[in-house]
Amino acid sequence: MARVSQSAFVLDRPSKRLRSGVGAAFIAFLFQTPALFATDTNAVINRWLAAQTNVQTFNADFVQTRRLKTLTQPLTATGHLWFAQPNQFRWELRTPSQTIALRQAEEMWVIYPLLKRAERYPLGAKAPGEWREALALLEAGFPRNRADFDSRFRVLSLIETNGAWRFDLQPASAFARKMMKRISVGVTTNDFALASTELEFVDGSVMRNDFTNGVVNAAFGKEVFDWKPPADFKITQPLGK
Amino acid sequence: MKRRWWWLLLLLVILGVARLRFDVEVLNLLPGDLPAVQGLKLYQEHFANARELLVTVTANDSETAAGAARDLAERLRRETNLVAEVTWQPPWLEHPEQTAELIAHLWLNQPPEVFTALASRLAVTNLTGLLAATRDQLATTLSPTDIAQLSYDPFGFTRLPENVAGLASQFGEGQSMFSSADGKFRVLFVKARTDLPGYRECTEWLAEIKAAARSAIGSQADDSIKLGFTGRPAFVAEISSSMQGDIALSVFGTAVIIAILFWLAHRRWKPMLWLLTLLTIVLVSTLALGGLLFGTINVISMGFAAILLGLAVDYAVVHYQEALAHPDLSIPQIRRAIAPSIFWAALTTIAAFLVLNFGGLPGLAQLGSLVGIGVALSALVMIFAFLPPLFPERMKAGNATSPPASPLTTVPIESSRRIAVTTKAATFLTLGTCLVCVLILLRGLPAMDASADALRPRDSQAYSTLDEVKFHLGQNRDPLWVLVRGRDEAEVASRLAVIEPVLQSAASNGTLASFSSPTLIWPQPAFQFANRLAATNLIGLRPEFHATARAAGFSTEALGLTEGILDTWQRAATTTNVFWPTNALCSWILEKMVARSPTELYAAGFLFPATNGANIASVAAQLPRDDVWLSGWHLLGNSVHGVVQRNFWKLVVPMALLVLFSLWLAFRQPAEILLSLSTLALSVVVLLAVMKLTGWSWNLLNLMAAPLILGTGVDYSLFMQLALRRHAGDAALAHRSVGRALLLCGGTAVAGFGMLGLSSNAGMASLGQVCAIGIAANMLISVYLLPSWSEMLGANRRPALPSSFYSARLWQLGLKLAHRLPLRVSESFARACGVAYWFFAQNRRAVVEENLKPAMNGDRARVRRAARMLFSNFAMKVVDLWQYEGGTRINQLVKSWRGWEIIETAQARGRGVLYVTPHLGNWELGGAFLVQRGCKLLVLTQAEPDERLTAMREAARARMGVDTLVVGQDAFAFVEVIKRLQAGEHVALLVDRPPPATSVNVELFGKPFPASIAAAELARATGCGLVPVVIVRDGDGYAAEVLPEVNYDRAAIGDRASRIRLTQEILRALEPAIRQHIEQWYHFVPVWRE
Repeated sequence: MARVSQSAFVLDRPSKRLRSGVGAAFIAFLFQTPALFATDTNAVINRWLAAQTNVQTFNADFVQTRRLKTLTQPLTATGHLWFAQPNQFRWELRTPSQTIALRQAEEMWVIYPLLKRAERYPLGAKAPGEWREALALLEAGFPRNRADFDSRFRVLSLIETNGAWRFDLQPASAFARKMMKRISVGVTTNDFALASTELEFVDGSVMRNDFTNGVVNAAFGKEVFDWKPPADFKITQPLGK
Repeated sequence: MKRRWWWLLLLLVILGVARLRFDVEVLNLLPGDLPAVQGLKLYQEHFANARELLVTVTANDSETAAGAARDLAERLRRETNLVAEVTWQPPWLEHPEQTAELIAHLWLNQPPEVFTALASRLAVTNLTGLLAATRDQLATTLSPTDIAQLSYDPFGFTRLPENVAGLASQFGEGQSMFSSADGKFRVLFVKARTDLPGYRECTEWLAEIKAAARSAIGSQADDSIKLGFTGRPAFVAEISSSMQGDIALSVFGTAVIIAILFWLAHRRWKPMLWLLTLLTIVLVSTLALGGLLFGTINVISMGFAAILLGLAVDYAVVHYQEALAHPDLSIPQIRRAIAPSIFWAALTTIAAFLVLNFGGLPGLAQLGSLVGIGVALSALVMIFAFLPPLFPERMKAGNATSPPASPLTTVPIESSRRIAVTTKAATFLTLGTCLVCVLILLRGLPAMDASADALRPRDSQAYSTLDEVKFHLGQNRDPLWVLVRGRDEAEVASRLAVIEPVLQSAASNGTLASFSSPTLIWPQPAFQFANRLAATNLIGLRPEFHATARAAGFSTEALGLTEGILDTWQRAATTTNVFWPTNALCSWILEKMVARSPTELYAAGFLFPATNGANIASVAAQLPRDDVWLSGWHLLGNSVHGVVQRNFWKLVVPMALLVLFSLWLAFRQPAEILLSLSTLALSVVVLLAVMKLTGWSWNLLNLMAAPLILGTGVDYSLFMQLALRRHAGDAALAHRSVGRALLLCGGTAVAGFGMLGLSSNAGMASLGQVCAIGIAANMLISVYLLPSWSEMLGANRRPALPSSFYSARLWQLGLKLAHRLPLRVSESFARACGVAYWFFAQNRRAVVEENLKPAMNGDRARVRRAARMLFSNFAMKVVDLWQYEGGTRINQLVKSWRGWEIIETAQARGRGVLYVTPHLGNWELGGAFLVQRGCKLLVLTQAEPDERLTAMREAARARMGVDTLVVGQDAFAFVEVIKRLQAGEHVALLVDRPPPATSVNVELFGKPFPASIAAAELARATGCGLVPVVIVRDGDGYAAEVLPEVNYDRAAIGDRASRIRLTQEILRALEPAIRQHIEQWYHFVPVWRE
């Protein structure tokens, strides 16, 4: 915010000339802000991405809040996230687990243990390209490098609030944009640890995850990401064979 | 009288035109009793939405394609006068609220126990727990489908029973019906505002839609965005415009070719233009008569026009050439001469085309009938109307100065260019052709295409677009349809219940890759009625649903689906009839599978065979027969192909018999029949080779070419061989006579069929191509190769030597039989043998007829009768001679003698008597009579064909006291004859058919005739009396007549010319007797000088 000299304020109304100059400066500031903003954003993104290179594993508790159009109150559920580079993750909701999203090398599983049901989503070359792009959004919190990041997202804004950077991103894939309008990723300003993610869907519903007790580079066994469907599970492939 | 017939024809034409309609429906070509055809027709009538157009959008990326599809949909929706609705994405995505009615309907049709279970689940006491579970699931599920479903259906109405959930999964996202997997190809369904009953309506509507579509896409059209149009309106518009193009092209093209060929042959404008005028009249009249007879003419049948033009022109050509060839004949005379040939030629052609009525394809039957009518009409028109305006001065019948000749016959066409092929060249060509064809056919015969592709248009944009739709939407094969009909919903439902397990079994055993059955969506009246109470109870819980939902934190929006379902059940509960969902979404789904009329209902299911060779027949066998049809384009091809194959013999066998019969009637000689059949056979081989080389295959339409080629192609070999006969096997003469005419007539027929080959319909085009090649091969082989084959076989040569029957062995046998058998038996047997020989020995018969013609002024009927009698008489004569040589007394044979006094007068002069006689009657008997009267007779004769026969005849005469002198054996024989005459003896000499050394040209019956000058020579040398004698059969015996002596001045016949004149006098004296007894003038080798 521009500063106005006390003397000018106390002694007299600012002269017309001064007001014009301040206004012009403010306007100029506003026009310069994107450049300044862009420069800052890039710098922050780069610092964030640089910080990611040191992250081999991450696990944290989270509280997931879902605001749906058809519900007057949000829904919450707690869970735990495990992540291991380059792209393995395990989202577990509730204890005992009600829903597990498990990313393996070439496929992703959504497992409903209590219902003995699992959905299989092929990744890699077998997956339809558009779905690959959509599923990749689940890794939004852990971009690998700048090129990867730029290929998946467009940065809408960067805001610093309450000690965290919030990146508002738009999926680059048109197909993914049909499902999601916006993805917001919150990282702590000091060490760029993942603080939150928020997905806004096209119907206005929002799914937010707030992470706590995050641990970087902790060791956990391979069994976290290993899973073979038991014989009594009903397996479906929502994307078709 | 004649005018009355023309007026009658005009009246029929007017009536026909008034009744005439055109039908572009390809299925109407096919046998209506085939289940596959019936099923397809039902499907097309009730399900293939006659008002629906599919518009395809292809772009470089999915976003562009989606945007273009959306823009196009919005643009077309604004055309409210043209378009009722446009669907470019699954309607349940555009109007999700409309799914409520569908789901309500599906629940209502569940068995009562299932609906009751739903009602129990939704009991008031369970609602809170139900919604809590829903919230819990919403909080934890990661499935977008679950989130969407549970958000808007907290009470779980969309959790349909598993069997019904399959229907939901078929629609699922639903994009697969509207978009390819990569999104670059999209389909819009555009329904017309009004019905499009005919091709005109379709064409106009489609043009307006295309204009609107192009304006919607703007500059992107054809650059980055490609539009396609398919569906019934597009097919009908395309087929109708193609039909118009085909008719114009085939008729105009054929007419131009006819005009060119006629011009090349005759170089005259007036007959050419008059010919084209008459052909136009024939064409229009045939079409009109076809309209009168059939009412509606199918687009395929319009191919008749080109064929008819090519065939009809032949009759005009024949008449015209005959008129040019015989300028002395009047038009009525020409007509009388030509009409029989035209009649027979037209009859075989008509028969060939009418035979198509047995082929099992109504469309081709109609084509065949139209051509048949047209050929008959053109024969009449050309016979009575073509020549009169061209030769008005020749309309009065006059005396013909020369006999009318056969069609395409005797007089050369105006060109002296030799077009014959030498025997050597023909042999080379024949062998070369056979070799090349065999080499080609070693790779296999042309394939047989049993599919229905022959019914499709060629180069069809609408079909290409349809193929694109199938390709991009993942339908690699055309589906089959199972259609069920019933009087009411319950009847159809019961039939569907029978069909469903059959289809499931077929899917599980791999016959079907998948199927979609209307069973799930079909109303179950009994269940609906049973569930109404439970539904009414649930409707009554509406306030509770609202209250518990609110309490559980659900907004009003979450209950939209619930409200919709309850409203639907409310409506269903108040109706007494079977409930049908009616909103736009449900209608869109139902019209794909359900059709309802006031009296009948139809349900359609879709089957996708696992492979092209899937055993669908086993599925068909398990389906009910009544009111259930399994159909599809794939089945259609096989079914129709089966019909064609089963009926093929009905086409080919009658045609083959007709051809054989025609050949037999024409030739009666195995060699010539064999030659014609060989021509046909080689042309078939050439046709097969060409088909193999070009990759053409047989299909259910061009198989019909077989009888057509047989029926029309055989004419060329027939005409050529008849010409060879007339010209005694002289190929060059035959070529000059008929070669060009055949090329002209054949060329026009090939042109007609060839134009058909340009048809937009694949099957008709292939029929035209095959016929053109087959007929062209027939024609060219007949014109260029057949004459040489004939020469090599000697099939058409006129025999110049006596029959091989005339041998010593047979003569001896005959003598024995005549001696042993009673006379009557011998005579009867002889007569029968004579007639039989006349019947079978065609060439010999032709020789005899040629010999008799000058005496009968060329009256063919009389000549024919006389020839027949001649053969019989000759056989009788030989038997009489055997009788005589066997010892029968001369008085028993020769009943009367007239003119003996003439002999006495001549004898009295003492310078000998020379008897001159022709080969008339039984001249041998005269010798015995003279010997009986004490005359010493020497007979001058030529050697018989058989030396032993000569000796036998000499010995026989010697036994009767007659001496024989064989002329030509002894150089001094003439001296002996002179001595005998000078001694006052009697000498007998045959004056017709002399040896070359003594042959001079005199006139007989007004024509040059070679006669023997020997009589005149002997007269000069001896001054003998020249006495003509004839001994002819009269009743059951012979009458001998001595004609007045031929007087001459010995001093005046010193020079050869005088002696030739004396020879002429001798022949003149004998001419009346020969003419009177022409049936006894025995010459079996050609006697006339050419």
